[in-house]
Amino acid sequence: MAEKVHLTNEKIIELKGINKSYGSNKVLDDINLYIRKNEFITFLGPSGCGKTTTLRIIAGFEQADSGEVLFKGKPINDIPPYNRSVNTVFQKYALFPHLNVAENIAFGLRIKKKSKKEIAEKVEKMLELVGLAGYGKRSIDSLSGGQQQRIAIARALVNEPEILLLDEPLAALDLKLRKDMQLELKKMQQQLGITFLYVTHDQEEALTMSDTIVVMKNGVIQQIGKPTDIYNEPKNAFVADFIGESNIVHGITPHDNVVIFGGAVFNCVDKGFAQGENVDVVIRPEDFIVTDEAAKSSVVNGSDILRGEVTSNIFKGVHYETVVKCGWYEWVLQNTISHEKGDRIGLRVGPNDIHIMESEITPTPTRTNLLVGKVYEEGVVEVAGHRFSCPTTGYGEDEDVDVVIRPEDIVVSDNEDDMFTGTVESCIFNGEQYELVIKANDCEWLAYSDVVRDEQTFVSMSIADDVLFVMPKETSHGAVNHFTATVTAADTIEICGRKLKVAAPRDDIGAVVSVSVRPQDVYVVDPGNGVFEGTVADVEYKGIYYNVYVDCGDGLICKVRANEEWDRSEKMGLYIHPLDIKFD
Amino acid sequence: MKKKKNGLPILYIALIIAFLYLPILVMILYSFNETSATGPFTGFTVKWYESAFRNQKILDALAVTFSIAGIATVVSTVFGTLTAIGIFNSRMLTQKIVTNVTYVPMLNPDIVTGISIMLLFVYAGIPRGYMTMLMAHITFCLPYVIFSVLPKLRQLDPNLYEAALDLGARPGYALGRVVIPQIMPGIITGALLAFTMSIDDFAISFFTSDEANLSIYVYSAAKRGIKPEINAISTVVFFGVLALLIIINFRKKKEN
Repeated sequence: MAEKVHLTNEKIIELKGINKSYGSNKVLDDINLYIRKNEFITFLGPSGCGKTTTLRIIAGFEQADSGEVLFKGKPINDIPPYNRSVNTVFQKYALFPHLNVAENIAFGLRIKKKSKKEIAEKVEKMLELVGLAGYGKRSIDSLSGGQQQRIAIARALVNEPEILLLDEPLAALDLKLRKDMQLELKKMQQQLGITFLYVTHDQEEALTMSDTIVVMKNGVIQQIGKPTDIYNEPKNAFVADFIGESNIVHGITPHDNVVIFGGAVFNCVDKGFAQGENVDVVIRPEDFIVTDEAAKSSVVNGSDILRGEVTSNIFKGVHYETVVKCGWYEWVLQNTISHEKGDRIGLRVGPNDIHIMESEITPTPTRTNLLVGKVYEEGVVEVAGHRFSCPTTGYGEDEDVDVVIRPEDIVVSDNEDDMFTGTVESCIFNGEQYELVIKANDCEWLAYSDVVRDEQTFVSMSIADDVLFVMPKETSHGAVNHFTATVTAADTIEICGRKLKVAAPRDDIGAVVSVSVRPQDVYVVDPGNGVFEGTVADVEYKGIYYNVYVDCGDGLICKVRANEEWDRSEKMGLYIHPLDIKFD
Repeated sequence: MKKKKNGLPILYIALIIAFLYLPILVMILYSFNETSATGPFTGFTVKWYESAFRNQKILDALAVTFSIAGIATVVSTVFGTLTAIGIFNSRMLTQKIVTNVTYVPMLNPDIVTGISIMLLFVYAGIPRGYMTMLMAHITFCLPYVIFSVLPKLRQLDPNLYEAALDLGARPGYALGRVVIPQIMPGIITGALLAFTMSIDDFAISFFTSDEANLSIYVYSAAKRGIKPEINAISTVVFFGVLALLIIINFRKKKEN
């Protein structure tokens, strides 16, 4: 390994707010970055991500629509390519076929009017540097691809540029030659102390050579960082997927340092996500730890073992690539141990190897009307100043309730003596029907209509009695799970023989207490991975979500809030985070 | 299985070649005829060639033909090449419009081109002479050069020009040192085509000038009766043009 070139903080190139479009196609969207002196920086991304366009803007072949290119702090937007101290190595080399090797290398020196002797010396030195001494008189056509590549590099380097731009220079070479050239380029860069800006779609190439990697997608920078940072801490699922092989799944974060995915609960090092937030979880194939199915878990109130069956096992030279099917998920792992197809195994992942990032797909919230209501008397609920007759069993008089009215249950008309009258706030066609937002009785209502309605015009609505969903208010008594528990240790309680860790320390060991857990704090995991295990006893649709009643045996029924409908008698595990167990 | 030979296609080709070349063969033959250009063949002679090259009018016509062809070729090659580079670097729409406009004179019958150029000179009050013929020749040679150079530009690696700029060359230098050498084969082909077209031309020259080039001389001499001298000079022109066409075709084959 050559000596490490010290990276200063001197910015040689700075891009500020660069935008570029071809017609209506936006290829660069607000690019901001800087390149330090002596740095080996790589722009990495799939084709069409804007990496080459960025390089061409720095070289001066393209003009940015807006934004500034700074060279050592001075704007160079209007400086033509021939006056920039930047040289380029093109993807297809772009050597001049009518000139021989030496003439190609000397092209830039001749323009600078160097003396013949100096030119000859420099050309010879360059040919030596790229390992092609004595090739000066050869014609370009007589050289192999790899040799042409070296000449292209020599032709650029002989001008002693402050930055060398390389646009996928190794893309046309075969694998073996590419690997050799990667090492050679890196060595050259360190020897010469020139800043290299390298463009590639090959993630391995980027990881091998770079000091800094800029990952791009659709003209937007996804992440800038050191290769190890990009690999170990990818900022989003795209980066994770593009850099190395990854398993990417959907997960939920009940609290800091805990994530649920693949039907199991894991400790992780990530913090700061909202409670119950939907996230993307990335696991590198080499980070799985294979255990036996019955291994003991290290997670509080749940289990962190993914249990499944090996569906394929392929020898890849250094390691085996094994696919394990665990419930709905298929995990790819790389391992030095061979597994038989059909083996049942358990998988674990260390907290540091779980990478959590904001989900790229935000689940669309159920669009409905959630209103505040009040039980007026037995069998009558008042909502938005109107009384509906509907069952109120379980609620007392004057009790505040939540009421869900689905937009499809609202009948829109022009009838002036209807239940509600108001004005149209907006009217948008959604492909099937018009979505109306109506302002009436100090509430905003979402309703559907088959005909277009002008904004700010009069409209009336009527709602039948039997379409209302009455729910206990989030905070009120009937909405939460109540359990009777026994305190067995300072941080442990027992409910129906199941031990649960709690967050608040207790000193009344042996006492019988009442605890409550909100349905939205109970998470469904695979059978065997939860603190409670049970079967679905009943499912209740609440207009926006489902209340799932899980029979955990011994008379223990747990109410769970779920976004999907569950079949009755389906088996599931339930996970409750210690922080979500409240003492009454 | 041995295929039975069918003589029909060969006969067909032979007939076509005969139709095309027999008249020329007759012309060449009669340029060596002792007595007249049309009568029976009485004996072999080269005296018509001698007299043709001693005839001042013919020599004048030859001088006009070759000087016009030479100048028209140089001028149309330079401007045609520059035009092609201009077209190539224009926006797509401009490219399409300009190339189509350039095609028209190539497809137009010579006589229409000739008359229209003549009318232009008449309206502009330019007296017809050597200069008008030269201008007309430059005009109709341009498209041949443009369409020989354009394909070469399209084949050119666009990075070559950029590489030259990148190495510090100003646009003019990059064009001269990198682009022009690369498209040179197309330029030469275009020049040869232009030269051939110019030597060959009758209709346009006839209408745009009162000077006589070789074609016009042959035409007016033939009106007074065909002399073997005309056969002789026509044979020389025929072989000259043939030689050029062979060179052009060989070049095209080599380029591809």
